[in-house]
Amino acid sequence: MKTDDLIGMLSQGAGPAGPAGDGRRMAFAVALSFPVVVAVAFVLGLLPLSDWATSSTGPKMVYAAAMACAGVVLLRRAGRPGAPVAGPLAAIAGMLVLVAAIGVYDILRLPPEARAMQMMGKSWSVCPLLILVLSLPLQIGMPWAARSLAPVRPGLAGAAAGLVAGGMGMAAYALHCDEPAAGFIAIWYSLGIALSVLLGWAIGSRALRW
Amino acid sequence: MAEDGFEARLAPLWHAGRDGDEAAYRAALSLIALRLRAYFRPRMAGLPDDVEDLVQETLLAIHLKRATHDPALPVSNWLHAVARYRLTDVYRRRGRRGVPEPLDGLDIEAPPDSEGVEASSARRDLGRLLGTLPDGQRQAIELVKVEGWSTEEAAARMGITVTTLKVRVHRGLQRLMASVGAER
Repeated sequence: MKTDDLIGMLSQGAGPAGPAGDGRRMAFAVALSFPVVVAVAFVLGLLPLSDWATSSTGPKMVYAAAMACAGVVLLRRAGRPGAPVAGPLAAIAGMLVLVAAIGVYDILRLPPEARAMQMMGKSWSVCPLLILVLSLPLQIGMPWAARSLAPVRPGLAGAAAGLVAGGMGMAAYALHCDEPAAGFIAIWYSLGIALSVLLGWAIGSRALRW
Repeated sequence: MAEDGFEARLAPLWHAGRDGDEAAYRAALSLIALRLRAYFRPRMAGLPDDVEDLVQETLLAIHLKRATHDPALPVSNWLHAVARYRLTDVYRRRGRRGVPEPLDGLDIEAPPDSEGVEASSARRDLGRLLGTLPDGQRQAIELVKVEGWSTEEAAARMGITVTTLKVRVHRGLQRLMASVGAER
């Protein structure tokens, strides 16, 4: 076939371009968090509302929501060839630095003998893995939502999808977790989200090629 | 983007095409094909026969992914990123290392038909690949894209809804793009 014939074929009956449709599909994918919350309620148990104030649940939610939102913005940019990604990447880096600084301060303000407890809490060994497990539904849902996009760096787009999945997994886990220390959150929650980003990168590198 | 007026020439056609003007869209794709040829040719020096294949494959990708261009951003940036990705993909499949340089510095453009009629004919025959699609998709593409029926007429002839027809055309083109990639 001649290229001119192909061009004729593609333009024939092409109609208007229409939207990419990723926004609606992403909203649907994020809604997969509801079954995740239900699973947390039944399997792990929810923290009573009265304990939220003493368990830093609010700050955890803010951290989780900020990461998930940044992930959505980054994914939508990464899926659009030529769209700048430096802004969302800088915002994510800034938030991580801020959380790390708060965590370091929270640990160093204590006498040395109390620091280990502040960092490890009672659940350090399960927290990052549970966040990763809770991210799984969105690890599939977000790449599915992005399939109409055209990421020129599939790994980056996958990492962004993993950030959304990790952020939402973290929010669901915070409904169960009673660890109050900022030092704990800065280390183990961040590690959980890092694992989610890593998994998302691995998935996206393969699944988001086009 | 080199200051060669490419964006200024392409953008109006592209945006009109985006809004449904098929003649403008056709002109935009023709302009894009020239640009792609000029970009791919020197970067596939060892494989001159494959250049036109890649041009056609990239045109298919551009058509299928055109909704991912943010109208607020220059279309040439979008196009160059897509072209570079397709070329990187060829390198990857061939096991060749390295990433092609961006198109930004590109200031040449192939003169139309500089290499005779054969220059724009691909080695691999898309028409033959079209025949390998499932019947529903092939028939939908033939009615709308080759014979030029409107989507309403084609849907009525096939006894399906307009939405189903559009989905079949889109899936068929996607499959065509995938099989083009698998053949190289």
